[in-house]
Amino acid sequence: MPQHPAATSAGAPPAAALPRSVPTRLRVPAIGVDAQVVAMGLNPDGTAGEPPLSRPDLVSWFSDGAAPGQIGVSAFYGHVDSRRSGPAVFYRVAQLTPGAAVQVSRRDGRTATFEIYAVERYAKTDFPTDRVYAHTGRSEIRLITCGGTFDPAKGSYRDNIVAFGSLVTPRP
Amino acid sequence: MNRIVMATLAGVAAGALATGTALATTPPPSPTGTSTPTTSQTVTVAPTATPPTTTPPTMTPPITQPPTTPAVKAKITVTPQLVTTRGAWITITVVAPNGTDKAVVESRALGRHELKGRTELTVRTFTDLAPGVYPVSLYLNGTGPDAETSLRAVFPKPIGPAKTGDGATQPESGRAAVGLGLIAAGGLATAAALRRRSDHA
Repeated sequence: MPQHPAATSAGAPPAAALPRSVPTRLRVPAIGVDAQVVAMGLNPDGTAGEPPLSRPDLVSWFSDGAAPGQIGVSAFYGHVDSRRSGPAVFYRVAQLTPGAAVQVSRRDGRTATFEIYAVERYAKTDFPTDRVYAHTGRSEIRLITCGGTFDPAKGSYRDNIVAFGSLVTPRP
Repeated sequence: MNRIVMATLAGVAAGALATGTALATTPPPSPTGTSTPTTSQTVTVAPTATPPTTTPPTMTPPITQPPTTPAVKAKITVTPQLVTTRGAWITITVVAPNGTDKAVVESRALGRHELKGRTELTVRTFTDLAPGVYPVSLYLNGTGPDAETSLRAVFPKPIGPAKTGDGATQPESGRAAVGLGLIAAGGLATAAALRRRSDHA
């Protein structure tokens, strides 16, 4: 599990959690992301639902998980590329560095701000589900997209990129 | 002669009788070993004391307190105790020693509900429930809680990787390799055709 800065004694205490409210928009200024968020559940095979390739500008939020700002993991998915757009909404997620801010607007008017603390790449054949979605006891975010090389035989990328972040500021 | 014999016999008999009587009334030797010399004297024996006749005591049943029933304790249960969807229906059952007219059930998972005399009610969890363990408390008269149980909310997590991209931006993608291969094949075919033409020429 990527080391969370708050796990060390020098880390600041986690921000207070927010009540549940559906996210509506996600911004990552460091990589120029300003996207509409749609709520999605699980696919029939148990994987997270993601926006269609025909809408490479959308970000999906796993609606059975925590809402952004709630205690738990709030997971967001976006395409890295598509034939329709070329580079898609999460094309530059792999370029994020610790300290980058992620702002999520919610239906209740509040904005939850997260700070990225790690960016990891995992082979899809060995995707660490528990590591990515494990309940940490605090409010956290995951930005998930594809990465690595493309496998034409399977029609998909070989890896996933996961950016880990923790809540720093809920704004009323 | 006969009279003498008869008299002698009578005397012996009397003596034997007297001796037997004396022996019968002689107390047994004491346990200490001293034996009471047996004598042929007549011993006056006090009349045997008859054991006093007593009426058996009347068996009055003891006065006991009636068996006490253990006090009924307040209790609350929820069914199911685990929910995996938001807005799930659960049934709450309570036991209250003095009734549930003023009883209230309360939880962060499902809010506050008055029982109003009921011992069972069915409610839904909140639709914005976060995963976790939630106490469900029973209040009988405003103070307490008088009984408590818990409800666990666990929601499914995604499994496996996400499929987020179709390789459109990959320069090393298979499409490029196939394209290059076709170009190479085309080049070879063109070169072969030109060579045949020059051979025939």
